[in-house]
Amino acid sequence: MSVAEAIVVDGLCKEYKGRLGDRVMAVNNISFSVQEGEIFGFIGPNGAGKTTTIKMLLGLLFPTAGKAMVLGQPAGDIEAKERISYLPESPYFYEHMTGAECLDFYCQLFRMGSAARKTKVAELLERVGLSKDGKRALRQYSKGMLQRVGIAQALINDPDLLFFDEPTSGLDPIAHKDIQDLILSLRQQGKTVFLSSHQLSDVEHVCNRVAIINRGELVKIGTMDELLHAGRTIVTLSNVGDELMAEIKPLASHVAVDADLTRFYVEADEDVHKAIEAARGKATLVSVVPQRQTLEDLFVEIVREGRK
Amino acid sequence: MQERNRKLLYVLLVVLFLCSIAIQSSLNPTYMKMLKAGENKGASKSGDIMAQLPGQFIFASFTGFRQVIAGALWIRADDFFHRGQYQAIVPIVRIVTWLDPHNIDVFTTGAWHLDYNFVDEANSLSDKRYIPAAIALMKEGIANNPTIWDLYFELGWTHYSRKLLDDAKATEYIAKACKYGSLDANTGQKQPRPEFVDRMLAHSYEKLGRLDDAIKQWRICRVSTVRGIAMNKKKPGSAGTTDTSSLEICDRNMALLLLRMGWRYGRMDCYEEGLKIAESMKTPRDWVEATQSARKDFESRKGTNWGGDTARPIDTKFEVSWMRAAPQVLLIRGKANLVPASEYKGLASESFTHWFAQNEAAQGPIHKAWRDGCRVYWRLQDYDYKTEELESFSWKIDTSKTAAWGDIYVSGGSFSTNINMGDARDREMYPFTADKYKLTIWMSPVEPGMPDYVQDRVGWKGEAITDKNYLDLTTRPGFRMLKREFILKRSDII
Amino acid sequence: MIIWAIAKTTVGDALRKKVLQVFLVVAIALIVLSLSFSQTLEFSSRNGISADFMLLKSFGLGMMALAGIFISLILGVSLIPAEFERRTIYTILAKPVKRYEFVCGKFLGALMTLGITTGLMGVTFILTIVAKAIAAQHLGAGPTVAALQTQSTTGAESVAIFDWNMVWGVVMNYLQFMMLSSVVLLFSLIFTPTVNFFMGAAVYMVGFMSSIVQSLGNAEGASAFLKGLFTAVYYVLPQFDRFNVSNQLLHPETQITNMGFYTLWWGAYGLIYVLITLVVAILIFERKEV
Repeated sequence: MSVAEAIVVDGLCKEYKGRLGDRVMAVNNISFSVQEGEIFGFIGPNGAGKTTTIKMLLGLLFPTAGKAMVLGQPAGDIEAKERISYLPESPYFYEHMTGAECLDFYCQLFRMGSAARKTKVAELLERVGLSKDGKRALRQYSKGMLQRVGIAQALINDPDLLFFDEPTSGLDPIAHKDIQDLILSLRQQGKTVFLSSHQLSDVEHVCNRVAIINRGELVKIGTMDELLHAGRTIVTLSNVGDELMAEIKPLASHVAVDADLTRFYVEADEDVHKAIEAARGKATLVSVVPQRQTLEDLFVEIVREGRK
Repeated sequence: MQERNRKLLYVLLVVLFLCSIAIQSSLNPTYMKMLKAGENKGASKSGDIMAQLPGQFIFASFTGFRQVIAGALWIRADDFFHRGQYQAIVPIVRIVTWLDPHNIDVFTTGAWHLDYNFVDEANSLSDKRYIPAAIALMKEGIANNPTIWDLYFELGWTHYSRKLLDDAKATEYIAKACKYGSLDANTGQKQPRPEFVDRMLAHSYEKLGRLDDAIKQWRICRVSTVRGIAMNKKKPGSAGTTDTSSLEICDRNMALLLLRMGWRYGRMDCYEEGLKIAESMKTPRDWVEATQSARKDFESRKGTNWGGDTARPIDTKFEVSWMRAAPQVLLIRGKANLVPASEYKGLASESFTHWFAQNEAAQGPIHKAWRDGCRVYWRLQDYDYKTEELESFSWKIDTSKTAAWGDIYVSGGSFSTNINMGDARDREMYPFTADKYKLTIWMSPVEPGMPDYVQDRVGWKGEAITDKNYLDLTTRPGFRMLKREFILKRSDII
Repeated sequence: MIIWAIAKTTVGDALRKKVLQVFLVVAIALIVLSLSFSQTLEFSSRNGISADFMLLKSFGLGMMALAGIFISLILGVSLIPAEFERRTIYTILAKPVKRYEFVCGKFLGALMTLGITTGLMGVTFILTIVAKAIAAQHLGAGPTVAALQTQSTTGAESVAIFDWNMVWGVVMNYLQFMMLSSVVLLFSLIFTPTVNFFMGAAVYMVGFMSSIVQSLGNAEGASAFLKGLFTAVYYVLPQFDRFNVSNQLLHPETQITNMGFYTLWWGAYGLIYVLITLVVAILIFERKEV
């Protein structure tokens, strides 16, 4: 593994045995790597194996097969944990603690001295905008405030690698934006972020590369450009006869009929012109709309394929 | 975790487990000894006790909650007492003394309860058939708590002396009590026994007429009192509540004993010694005046061949009869020439008791004609009834037996009492199933049958008592009693 | 430092459990209330001071034992599973915290929590007895019904203020709680909370009757297998009854051993037992998926 790779996963498997002896492959032979300094998106439907994979990378779960290396150390290694952090989905903390006490507790887990902890806690509260609320008990915090505490605890050790699991879940738009900005700033600092999220717009916006996992298997991995279509155009015609259909259909990657409207999804620009020319005088041209594929589109497509 | 560390942990596990086994094995004998020390030594087989125990207590009785259960049951007993459910208390006493054999209060209260609380409705006489159970319970308590004075004393005083009028046995147990100390109520640490215990032994000897033993005991009391005062000066409380008032009690009692020996038997040496001790006490005023009066009397008798106030016999003219006033109602009446006021004229004791208002003797009613205060005892029981000596505590009595006794106050030279044993509510206590009965009526010179001032005339052992018909010298060897026995048939009573 | 940090957090979290607070408050209230039990008793042939103390102490120690057992069970049953349920364990184990440090921190936190609860009950208990002793010294107890009726002069008892035996009683109770909660903490890594509660209670009951188990192991006529089984159970399960010396403490005149020595050695046994359960817990947790 080259030094530039923060995470290397090779043939990782996780099998669960049910009570009746049945076996479930939660993660089935996935392999990928994450470069240092990149924001890596890890997406998939519910139950796809995202959290299982993250837990294996953190050493919370033990793989059935395969191996994973994190920052050059086997997954779960204590030395590596000095340089990583984890923000779980909807983080919970000890409710009886105040925000400051909670962060102080986590600082102690990094063996920080009391003076250093004091400084660090103040700094973190400031950074996440909770300076005024540091002395309030966590049970009085809103979801957004708890999320910010979660981010704060993830930044204690100024980690090189951060695991974010649904960091924007349940947040209002402003907080949402703040998180996005944070992630981008981390990249600017040269940190590596492993982002697992259902907010595909976020992933599309911030990530360098994305891996899509479905039913425990890695389906696609690559940059946005590699994953998403360059673009396609939707040519919508009405009153399309069979002859015209037979003429245009080969030009389109996908045809959708909706009452008397027929939409032809045409990939190449020249095919768009051909389709329009073919329809001239034979059907009514309703619209010609250029369209770029979104990550959501891809995601939905993959999931549907998976269900078939 | 590295494999090496894991293996080390396994080794550590084995070592720790072996250490725990070693500690258990070495300490178990100590624990077993402690358990045994806490068990009831005198109780009968635990099986029958367990059968009495409510189910939910059985588990706890095997566990460390014995004390808590015993406490809870004792509170329940108190509740039964308030409600008058006296029978219900007895099994609780059994269970609690088994659960907690070192709870002194339960032994003493339980035994007292048996002796005193089962009374008839008509006469408020206690059911004497429970006395053996009470004594057996006390003896069980002693077997479990042999090194403290409490139960010995209680058995001697409350049961043998007051209930059974057996002063010899009472003295035996009070003497045993004098060998042992007490325990601090809170910490259980050894403490000296209360000073009254030793003084009661002296009184007991006096009752038995063992006067030299009584004097010796008073001297012992005095020495230990002086020692106790010194100990308390050094460390307050180390010798209980002993102080100068305790010394005064010793001196006064010894003075009175010696004076009485002088008055009653003409022992001038004792009279003089008694006076010296009495004169050393300058309060109260009555005492001082009484002492001065007694001194005058002593001086007047010195050198004469005076044999004491009891040298002159007194004819008691004892008469007693019974009749059936109604079915199971007996009327006992009689006369006893004890004691006309005239008998006290010129007595040496009068020089003192006439003046000493504080003296117990002077508190007795002084009638113009009679000095009342004597008691006649009666006892009606199945002909073959004997007060059993139980081997172990059992509260089951033989309800077919009849045994009752009490006392009658003598006033103005006569006595009379109506004993109603026919009340429907008292059927169980007076079954009258036997064919033959013995009714015994007697007078004894021993307290409380004859108080101090009566003994001043008749002597500790009744030396001055005479009677033509009913003088008894055999029931209590060395003592002169008055006694009459009647044999009754069932039909005489029913 | 990490173990201490986790232990402190555990204490703070545990002491805020409503169930635990309820048991503690009820136990303390009952201990104080027991002062009134003895004052209502008339059925006594003595001045009854020693009987009063007996009642007070037996109730106090018994109440403490009962409450402490429940507190130990509740604490042990929920301490670690709650971390899983609330998912707080993820943020902890994602940090450079070794698994054994987490387990040790939890155990230490449990022991500290038990120390605080036992300490509170113990201090209340001892103060109650001291208050009773001071009252008894100054006021004395009046003669009771029987004493008046029989003119009994028994019961003139002296009263020292402080009974050190009760301190031993509190210490022995704590040692029991310590062992029970460590067993239950260990079980919490294997069983669900409900099952664990009953398993823990069962261990306590069997351990409390260890003398009976020992007798079964020595029974003549029993097969070698049964003897071996009962002997194994006897040595493996904690012997709680050895720690329940309230009967002996309430009657120190029957003690035939030095209480300090006895406490020290059985305390050592208790600590060793806790270590055993801790080591097993570490071994299990090392391979436990979070």
